[in-house]
Amino acid sequence: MQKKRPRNLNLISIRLPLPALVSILHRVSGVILFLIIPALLIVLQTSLASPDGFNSVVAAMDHPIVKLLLLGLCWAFLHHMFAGVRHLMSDMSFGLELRQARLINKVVLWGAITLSIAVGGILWSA
Amino acid sequence: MVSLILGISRPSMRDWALQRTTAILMLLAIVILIGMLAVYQPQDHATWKQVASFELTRISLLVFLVSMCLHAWLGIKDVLMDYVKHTYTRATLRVLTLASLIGYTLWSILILWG
Repeated sequence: MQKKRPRNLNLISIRLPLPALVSILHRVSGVILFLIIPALLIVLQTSLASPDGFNSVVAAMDHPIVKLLLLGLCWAFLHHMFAGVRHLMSDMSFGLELRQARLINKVVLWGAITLSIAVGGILWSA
Repeated sequence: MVSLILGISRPSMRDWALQRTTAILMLLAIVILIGMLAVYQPQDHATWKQVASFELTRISLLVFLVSMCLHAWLGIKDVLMDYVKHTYTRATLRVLTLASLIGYTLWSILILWG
């Protein structure tokens, strides 16, 4: 039986509700963080191995593209951590009221972005 | 072990508990590590190496990295379950994920104590 009803599967025109946005970004940031693990281990290993290694890591961080990558990584980390803490709060039945839930989701989303911008400021001024 | 402590034996509940336990361990480790960095403020290799050689730093970093690998395994497993419909492709990706995470854990130990 075919029913005529409006159907919209265009992902670009669908406006995600705030909790859905925070949730999918939690997932996206998690995958980003997983993929970056080997790079982080290389940086840790190189910087500890020798003074030359340490200096090369410090020098690499001066590169604008590396700074941009660090900024993105910083956001992924902060968003994932904040959204995770929100999960832990929900597990303890904290902030389940609609108004509180919305506020907490806003804090997660904008808190991560604002703190990332602050870190960006430090990266580019250093 | 965690499921034993929390008295949870069903697999999905065990994953749920482990995801949260590792998250909290990582939060604690981050607080300690940021504290160490704030106190010693390493600007050169010698100080950096010194900070990394403290037992507190090593244990925190190890707890963080091992928790991260366990946490990532549970998360990526869910992501693969949701988006990769083809059974064999999913199985292959799961094996690759697990193998790389075990590799990362061993690598971390090597970095910290090698």
